[in-house]
Amino acid sequence: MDYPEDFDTPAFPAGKRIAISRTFGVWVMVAFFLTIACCVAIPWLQNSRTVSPYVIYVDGMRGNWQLVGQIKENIVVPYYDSMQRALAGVFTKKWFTISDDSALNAKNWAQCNRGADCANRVSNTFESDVGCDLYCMAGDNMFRYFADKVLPMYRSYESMGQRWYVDTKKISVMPSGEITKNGGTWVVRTSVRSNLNGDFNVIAYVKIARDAQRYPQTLGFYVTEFNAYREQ
Amino acid sequence: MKKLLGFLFGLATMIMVFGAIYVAASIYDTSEKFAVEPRFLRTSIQSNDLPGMPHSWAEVGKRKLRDWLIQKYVTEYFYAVPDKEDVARRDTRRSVLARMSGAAALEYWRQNELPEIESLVASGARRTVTVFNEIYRPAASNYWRVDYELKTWYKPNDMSESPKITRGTMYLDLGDEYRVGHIGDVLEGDVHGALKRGIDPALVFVFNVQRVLVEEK
Repeated sequence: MDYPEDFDTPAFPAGKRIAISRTFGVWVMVAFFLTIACCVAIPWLQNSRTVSPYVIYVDGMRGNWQLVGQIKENIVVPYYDSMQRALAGVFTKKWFTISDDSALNAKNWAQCNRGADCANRVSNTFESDVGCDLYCMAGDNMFRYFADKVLPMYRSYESMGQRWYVDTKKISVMPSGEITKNGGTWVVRTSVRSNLNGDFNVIAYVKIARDAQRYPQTLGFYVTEFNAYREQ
Repeated sequence: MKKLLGFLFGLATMIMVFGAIYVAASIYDTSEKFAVEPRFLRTSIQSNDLPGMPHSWAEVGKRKLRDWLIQKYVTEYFYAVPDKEDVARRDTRRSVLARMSGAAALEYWRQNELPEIESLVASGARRTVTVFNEIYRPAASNYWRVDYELKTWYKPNDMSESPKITRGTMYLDLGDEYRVGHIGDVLEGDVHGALKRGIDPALVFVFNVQRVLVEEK
């Protein structure tokens, strides 16, 4: 230092360089921060892409609007849902069966002893060698209605040579309203094959109730109302 | 030399940072959030079995959506199934019909249609509804004209029964021009969320019937 000739000497000659490198360093840090923020956003954005497509089904014939095609995760079908569904389907199948074997028809439509004959059902079809298939699935009033109003009609069909079979490939069972542990109403749609009249479509409303003491073979579920109509 | 090395190091760092930003930005672009539109599927009116082609909202258009909502309303108004709980559900404030109706229209239904539906259900009858002809509003009228056909089966479990067919015309007041213009707009924020909460699809869209008149033929 040549004082006093050269007194315009900066107090700290390296100050400017240090200031520049500090500024540069700060901006590099900001840029790195932004980069890291972008990288953190990537997983979130990737996840946001997984949307499930859905379709609103507008049924012009029946006026229903339903949500279809929605994939629901972790669906657990409760036991009462599947048992009632099976009962509604099998009962409808049995209801619309007029076999060419009259002995089989008699067995199917017979009234039996609920305690003795209904206990040993084959678990997946509710059928047994004893017969009484409709009786074992129906409530007392329901079966009385069947025996009084429907059976005479079926006997006359049988004597005319009428045969009915349910096309099990075309059977659908849907809930109508709320289904609970104590039952509910189900809508069964199916096609009945007839040797005299050709095929016809039917829709049945099957109301299911529960009495665990009297119907142990179906976890207590039984058919308490059955209303079927021929679709036109 | 030291300065040159420092400069090159800084330049390389800058290039890496901008490269990383570019990569992140391009991933952002590809994974941009997008809204999912519902698609509408409708079976052919001629057949129960023919599946229709799913159409997007834009393809369906507001006019068709309005017609479908009107058909839905007419069906809710008349149908009967042999289930007493179903009738009880329909007579509550949370029912589909109640939420699609204004106070006057709902009261008209309670007075004029509900007793008949109750008697049909009590006797085990079933009634279906079909809307036919074009739905339109005649000039200088507030009411939309809807022609409907009812099929009623009176005898359950009788496969020889043919349903009784009756026809009629229904007049629906859907409100002023402003309300009619907004029919089909989404009511509940986003469609997907509303449907996930279990709301009836027909209730997701703006639609309200103010008054009803029914003329049976």
